[in-house]
Amino acid sequence: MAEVSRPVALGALICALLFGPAMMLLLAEGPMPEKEAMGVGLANDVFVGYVLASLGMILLLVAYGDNRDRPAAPVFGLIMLLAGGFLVGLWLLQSADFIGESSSSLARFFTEMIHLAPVGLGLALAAPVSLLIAAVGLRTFALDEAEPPRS
Amino acid sequence: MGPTLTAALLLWLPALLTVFGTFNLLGRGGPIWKVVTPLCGVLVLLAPLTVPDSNSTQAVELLWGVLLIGAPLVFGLALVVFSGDVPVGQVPVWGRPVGLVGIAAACWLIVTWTPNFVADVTLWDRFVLVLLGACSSLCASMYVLHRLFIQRRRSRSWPMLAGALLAPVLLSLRGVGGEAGPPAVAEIAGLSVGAGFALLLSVLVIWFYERNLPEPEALPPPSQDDLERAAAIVARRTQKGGELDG
Repeated sequence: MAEVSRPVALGALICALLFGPAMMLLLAEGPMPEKEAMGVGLANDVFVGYVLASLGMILLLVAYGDNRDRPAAPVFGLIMLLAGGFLVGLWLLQSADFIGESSSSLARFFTEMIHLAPVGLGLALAAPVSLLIAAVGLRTFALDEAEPPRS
Repeated sequence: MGPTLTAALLLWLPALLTVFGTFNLLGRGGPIWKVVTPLCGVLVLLAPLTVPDSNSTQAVELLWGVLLIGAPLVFGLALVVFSGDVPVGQVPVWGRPVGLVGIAAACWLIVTWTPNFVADVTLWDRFVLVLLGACSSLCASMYVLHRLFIQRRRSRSWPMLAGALLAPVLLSLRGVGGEAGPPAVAEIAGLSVGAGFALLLSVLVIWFYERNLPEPEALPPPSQDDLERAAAIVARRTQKGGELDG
């Protein structure tokens, strides 16, 4: 690591990660939404994030199973985790009255999934865009082995 | 057929198959996925025509808008990158100006444009907010990683810093409503916590499975022939610098 200690560098990295959300909050103008509605949204977002990521992991494991002689045990384990998490999540949301104005917790799940589409698509586009921006600095200029480090 | 079943068959099932097919294409999937995956992708993109009454179609309308903004942005950046000093895939001289025009057009669209085919305007506002916020965070993180964690860098970090600062500028030019900012941050946090929890549990399951696998059978020691062949390869690489290996 160049010139700075590891804790300082790690602190800078955490600050950099929080830079975007901080800007989003600082630049927001006008009335803020109610805290209770945000709490309901947050609980549902955690639930939807869990279910979608579990489903993605199962599909990934099944698709890549060819490389490992199609093991059934971890796929079964992940399906059990998904099913268990889904049922427990629905029960928790229902018992804590976190389904808002929807007719059922399942309806709320699908509504929340559509509601989270901008977040998913925004993150999905931001990742390649940021990597390409980084690549502009890494590859646009002539690389000379004898040249000293530069910034 | 009810509207829910129609949406399930013409949107959700193809969407699931598109994701699964993409994973298969990235791995060693069969040739059938080369046909099924694009077909399912087209079905998903046509959802506003095939299931116009479903609420789920809003996500596909948003996807169309994302494609219209993302295409000039990603291709513009790729043209700028590959018009530089790259060992493979270098584009001709026109690549850089065309790329810069594409990036400028995308930035202009981000600031001024709201697609009228997206029924729920708040979805588009939240998408732009998340895109710019995430770009800002990722570029700032890569800048810090590049400056503080890489010892002998011969590349430049200012494009990452420029990206991290340009995103909030575009955000302020577009304007962020108070009703959109905090919920979008909460959504990113919620989604990250949920997905992180699922990934952690999945890693634990796979780890338990791998740990319980029997030890692989010991391979026989290399023969004299194997050793001589390995020595010849090492000698050739040492003398020729590995140029003949390709």
